[in-house]
Amino acid sequence: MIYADNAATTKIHAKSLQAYIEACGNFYANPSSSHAFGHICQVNLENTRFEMARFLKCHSEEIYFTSGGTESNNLIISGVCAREAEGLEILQTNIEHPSVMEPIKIQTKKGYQIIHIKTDQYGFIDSEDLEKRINNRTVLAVFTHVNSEIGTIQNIEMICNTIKKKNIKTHIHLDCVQSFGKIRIDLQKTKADSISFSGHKIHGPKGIGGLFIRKGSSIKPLFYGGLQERGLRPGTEDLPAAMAFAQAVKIRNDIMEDEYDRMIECKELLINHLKANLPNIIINSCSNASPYIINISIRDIKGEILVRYLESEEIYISTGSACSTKKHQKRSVIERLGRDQKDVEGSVRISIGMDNNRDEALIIAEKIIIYANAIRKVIKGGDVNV
Amino acid sequence: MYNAISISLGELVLKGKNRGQFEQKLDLQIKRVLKEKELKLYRDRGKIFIDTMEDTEGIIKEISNIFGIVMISPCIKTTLEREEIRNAVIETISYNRKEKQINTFKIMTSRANKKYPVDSMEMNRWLGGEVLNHFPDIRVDVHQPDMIVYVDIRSFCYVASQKIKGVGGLPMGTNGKGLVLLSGGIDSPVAAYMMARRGVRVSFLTFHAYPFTSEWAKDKVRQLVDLLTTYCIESTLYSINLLNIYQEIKKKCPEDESTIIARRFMMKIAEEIALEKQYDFLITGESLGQVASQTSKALGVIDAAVSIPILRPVIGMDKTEIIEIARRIGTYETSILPYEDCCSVFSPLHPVTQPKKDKILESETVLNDMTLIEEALQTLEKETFKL
Repeated sequence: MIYADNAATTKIHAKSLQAYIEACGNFYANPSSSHAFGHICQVNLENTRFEMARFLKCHSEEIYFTSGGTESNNLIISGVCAREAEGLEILQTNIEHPSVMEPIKIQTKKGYQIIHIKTDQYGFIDSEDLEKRINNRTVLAVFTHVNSEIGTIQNIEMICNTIKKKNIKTHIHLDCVQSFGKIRIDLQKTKADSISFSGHKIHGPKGIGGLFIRKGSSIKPLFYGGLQERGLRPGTEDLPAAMAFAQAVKIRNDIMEDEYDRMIECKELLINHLKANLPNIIINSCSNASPYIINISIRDIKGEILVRYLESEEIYISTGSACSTKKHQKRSVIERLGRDQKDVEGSVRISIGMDNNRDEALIIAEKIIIYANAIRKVIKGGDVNV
Repeated sequence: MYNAISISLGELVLKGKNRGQFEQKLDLQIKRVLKEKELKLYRDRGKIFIDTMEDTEGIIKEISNIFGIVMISPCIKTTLEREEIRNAVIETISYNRKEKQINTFKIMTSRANKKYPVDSMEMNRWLGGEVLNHFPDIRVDVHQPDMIVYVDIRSFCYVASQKIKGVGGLPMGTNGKGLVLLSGGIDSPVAAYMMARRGVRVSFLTFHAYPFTSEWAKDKVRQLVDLLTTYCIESTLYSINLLNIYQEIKKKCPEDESTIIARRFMMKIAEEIALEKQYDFLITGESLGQVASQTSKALGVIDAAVSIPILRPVIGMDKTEIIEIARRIGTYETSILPYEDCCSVFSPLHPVTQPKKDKILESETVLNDMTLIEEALQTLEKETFKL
């Protein structure tokens, strides 16, 4: 099996799984309990938080555990926009993840206005437009560090500086779910007020994620209860998941630079092989995009059919876009970037990760070539043998 | 309060010599539906009764979907002693008064047991008088009473106040076996339901074109069959991969005829399966004029592909009427899920609406019918669904 859908989720790392199992067996007391066993769990939780903070080079009080990226994004958006506010503005682009766009849309009911920043063909934020759009009504700006569909890496340092220069009070939130643990984020240079990240995208467990929230930010919780996570995220903490997450982060910390180079090699190999052997393809991801995400459009095929042919060989990739017949589906990023409908339908996303290697990259390319050609033949009414 | 459930059968009672057989089928189905409950099921002069003190509501809900049942009533069963009947009537009214305001009532006695010495009119009068004595604040209204107390005199007496509608129709299996061509759309599940309601034991055949169509589309069809099992109790789902046939048609036949030729292949394959598995006819959800392959001309050309009868129970219905039934039987929400059973790659933009049989037959000559059908049959998958 070749699993190349790592932007959707990853296989948990053996060490992370082991940490999870051990914690379930050993540290099952409630960290809020007053007895000694509870206290041990509390200490472990805080140590875990400290590990996360060390990785991000921030204070451990700035780390909050949540259930994942979606909750983290929701928490910040609703938490910053807690009060009714006629005429206040939220900045975003039109290629954000649904866990950003949907909660922002809801804020319009409270009177907030959504401002979309212009992007170029790869989704890069237009810095001039950004500068123009910031004013004293801008309360929140939410951008994605690495786009989950095409891998575009935003210049977050520039974005934060541009915003803060014009309105220091604007809360800047970055969705770092696809970059966390893959690209180093320097929170000293990047003046974001909060960033969100997730465990299962970096070979940690599912159901846990987190937030960095810079000291001094005022965020209202999504729901209410106990005082866990300093009251911002009530509910008994999932200590085993947190410990397993920290273990996954530790592994990332050790290997991420080397792995990044390795991924660039795999990506180039895959793209070059495709380009050389399969005519009429478009690489939707720009050359300096995250090497973990490769989005391509293959003319005259439907991406989802290719995905199904590959699954018959136990190769798992993802469609770049749902078939046009699924009308309820969200529009894909490349569609929102204005690509031709045919290229939208013919797009697939290959998202590689730590378990993939050069050989696999070549096999994926090889199989894509075989099946894309076969599908093209069928669609054109040609011979059938696949 | 209730200790029995009375079940009325619809047109079943008209079925003359076959009645015994029909009733047996119905008994069996009731027993199957109530399999986990050990209940006594018996007949008292043409009606079916279940003795039960517990969960009458739950049982009624479960059996109300059984075809052949038109009316169900929870009731108090008594001996034929007048005092007992009286007490049951009083108890029924008392019980109903707790639920809602009752100012007027009416007694309706029916006497299937002609040996019972008191006739219906006299029972009505006597029981009415007893009720008036017992509840001085309510009165009789024979035209628009707040409640009717039904007194059903058979070997025992059954007193009821509620009549709950069943689905009607005829018991499953009393009208042969049919094979439904199930697409996953709105119409074919409704067609299946309508024929099952007329006593047909239905099974299903679906076509897909994996990997040009998705696993989700197959799952959707499975879900529909599962939903229909509420009514069909037991059925089989056959599925066939048509990809090869679609490809051949696309490659060799005129594009505008591809839908109609594909439909003819579906019928031929369905006929093969029907003959082998002994289904008496095919059932489709075609509705006249709905799409290009459902014009009168097109249906004629499709019919000509096979000699087995094709029943089309929704042929004369409007889409809105079909949707109404789909909603009622609970298949609508699943049917509108967006997974397609046929990839748009194989659907022509402008399909022929007035196909001529000779022309279609000529177009088909380039295809090797026998081999294609045989190959398609080799992709047959079978799954059984039970309540």
